Amino acid sequence: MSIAIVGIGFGAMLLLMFLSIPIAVTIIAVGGFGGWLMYGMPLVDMMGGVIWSSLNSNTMLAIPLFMLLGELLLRGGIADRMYDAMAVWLGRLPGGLLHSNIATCTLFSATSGSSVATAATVGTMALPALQQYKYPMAPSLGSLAAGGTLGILIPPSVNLLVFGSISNTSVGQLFAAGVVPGLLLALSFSVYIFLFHGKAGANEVRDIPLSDKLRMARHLIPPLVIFGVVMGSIYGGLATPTESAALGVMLAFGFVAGAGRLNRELMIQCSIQAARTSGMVMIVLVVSLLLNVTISMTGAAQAMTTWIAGFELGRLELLFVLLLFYVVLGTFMDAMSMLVLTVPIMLPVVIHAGIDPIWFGIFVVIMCEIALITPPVGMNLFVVHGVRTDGGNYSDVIRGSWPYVVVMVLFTISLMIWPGLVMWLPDMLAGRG
Amino acid sequence: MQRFTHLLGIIFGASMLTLSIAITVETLLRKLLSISLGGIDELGGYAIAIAAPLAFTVALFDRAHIRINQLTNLFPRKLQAVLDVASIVSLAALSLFFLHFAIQTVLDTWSYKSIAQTPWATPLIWPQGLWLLAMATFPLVAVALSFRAMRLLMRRDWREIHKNFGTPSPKDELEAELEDLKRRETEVHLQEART
Repeated sequence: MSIAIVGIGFGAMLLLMFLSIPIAVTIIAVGGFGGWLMYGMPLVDMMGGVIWSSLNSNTMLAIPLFMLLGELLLRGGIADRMYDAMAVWLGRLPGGLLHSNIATCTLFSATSGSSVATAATVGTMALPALQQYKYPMAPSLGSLAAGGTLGILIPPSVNLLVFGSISNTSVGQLFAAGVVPGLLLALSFSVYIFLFHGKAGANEVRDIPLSDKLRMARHLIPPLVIFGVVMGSIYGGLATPTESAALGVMLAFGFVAGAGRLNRELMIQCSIQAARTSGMVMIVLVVSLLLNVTISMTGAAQAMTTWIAGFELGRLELLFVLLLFYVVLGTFMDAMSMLVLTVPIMLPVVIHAGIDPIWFGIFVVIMCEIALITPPVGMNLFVVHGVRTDGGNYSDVIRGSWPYVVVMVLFTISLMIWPGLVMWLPDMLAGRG
Repeated sequence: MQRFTHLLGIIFGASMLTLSIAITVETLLRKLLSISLGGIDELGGYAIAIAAPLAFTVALFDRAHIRINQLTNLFPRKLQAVLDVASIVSLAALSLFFLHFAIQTVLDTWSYKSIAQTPWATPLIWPQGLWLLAMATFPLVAVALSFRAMRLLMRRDWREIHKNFGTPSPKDELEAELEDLKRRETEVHLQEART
């Protein structure tokens, strides 16, 4: 297959997508039709078996379980008080409540899995306090929008699960690989706040007794326990990611019941919401696995690899090109679409260049995070702006968020230079350290 | 139709919760008492294969399948409406494509009397039969919605098409989240008042 045909296929997909045809349809239209053109019905006939085997899989099962876990924590109101708890502990740092925004978003989105829910909840909790203490608006909104992106990198992450399925890499390893970069990126955000907004909230005079601080800390227990059990059971070799998700669901169920919030309506709402978001993710995953069949049978990935190898780029040069490609793509494409569309074709290219697929998974997910806060299509920008009650301009949130895009790009470059930051934990756990 | 899709959502949630209980019990027994119930993995695989099409249907009814509308938002309203109808019809085509392959897979399983290569040696026709049934809900709803969309298109009812088949704006999603947050806050206040 020639590179021109690959280009035409990718172009056709983009065209259909920009005509607002559902992503799942565009992928199958190009993948299925392309496969039929090249190999006729035998290739298309294989697809039934692929649909069954891709759905009948334990990795696929982890997706709705993590979604249900997030819904229980969110709708059960377990995570709502996290902001107040973070604020009393972090409010005195230079930059004050802006650190609380980052920390709460990190913890909240790591458990809820939805950036809309994270930004809506944390934003609603945070903005009145930020206004009361006269924090500048743009940096406040920026910290909320950027903080909300961290959840898709810090495990458990549905984006990493989807990457693991498409690339056939270990989800446990991917989850391990996400921890250090996730925490370092959160820390980088805080360093940025410390350096550039260290005086924000200086008027805030609050002296909270330690006993009150400790009392507030109880709101952090459920998310931390769930995070600890889910991740601990995977890393301790006690459970697979799917089993850990089930353990997490049971714990969340227990916390909601313990808080006296368990009722029929809540369970119905959680079920429908989990079905809705899981359906959205699973369908693109299934069609992307079907596209994988076409790509591997038609030699599209091989053609792309040969073409890119022809440029004789070094590892770093290739990664800089990919960084630019993804940042541009992310300005107009949503994170999940970007992931399922590009990974099947790009993965063989990066493996050929000697890049570890686990490392590449983290790289792609950081690119997805950037996509969430780059205009014009930045979901978190829309949501954080929507939470404002002061009727300010949309440009404020863009102004507040772009420094975080710069931080993320610089952070990604540092991961490119020191890949060990990503690979250290998974290598150690796999006994390769 | 809303009741039907909500029922599918509830079945989905209930099956995931039941599976979570089974998997948790199995994991704890295996790790703490070295007892394995066996086959939970296999059961989980069948359960998600059967539940996934139900989730596709719920997402379809709630207009949650991902669409990129940044460019089409700039189009005239009529053209947007035509693309909205094309989207739902294309999803119906996808659902029929899935159903066609599900039927083919089940027919193959039936004729070869296929059995799972697992300790349970499950005759695959059982889980795949249920899978086919679940797979049928997706085109059922998708085709019904397509007919409705086409009727609206013939009536040139652009506003209704946008309302029912357009992509939900981030504002709509945010409003739903904020409303839910308000409900949770009210519940907390009521709970505090009771204690």
